Amino acid sequence: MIRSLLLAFLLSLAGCAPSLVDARHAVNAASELYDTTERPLVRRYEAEQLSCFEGALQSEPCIAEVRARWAPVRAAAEAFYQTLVAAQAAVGAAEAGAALGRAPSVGQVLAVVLEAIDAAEALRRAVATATKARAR
Amino acid sequence: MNWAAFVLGLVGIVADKLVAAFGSKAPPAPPAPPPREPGFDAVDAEIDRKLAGEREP
Repeated sequence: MIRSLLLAFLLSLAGCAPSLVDARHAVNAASELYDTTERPLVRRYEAEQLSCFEGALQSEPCIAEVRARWAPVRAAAEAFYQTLVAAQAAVGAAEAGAALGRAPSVGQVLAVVLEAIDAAEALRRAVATATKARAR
Repeated sequence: MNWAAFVLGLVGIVADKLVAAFGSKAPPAPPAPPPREPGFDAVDAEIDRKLAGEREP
């Protein structure tokens, strides 16, 4: 998903000057990605902690380990959300300006959108690391 | 009377009315930020309650 977002973005950059429409598409796709990603992550986080109450393991140290392992994922999810809100605001403001006849600074808007895409990629990496650490 | 000026003025008034009726000069509403789930913090609170219940005799 992140790759297709990036690919679409890079193709638009390579093909011709990127427009606000490209930025809008990228932000909408990133929002969809956030919506479909966070809830399953929270469910996994909950399931891992609940599994600490089963079996012979002591609950508290087990829960502490799960929380420590998931801390980077939570931070990355938060960063993704914040950059997404900023990207939506930037695209919205540029669209409003364009509707009033002001030439939008597409480069600045795209920089904010790229930050959101980077944050999505960082979240994917954090989830992969947390999953790998559990498998060990 | 200059008929050309009269017709042009009339066209201008009609065009203004059309723009006022159908064209929006107001900026579009900004998109709403994505909805936020209670998420990780709510899970932690629930697990902490469960732990507290486990500690009680």
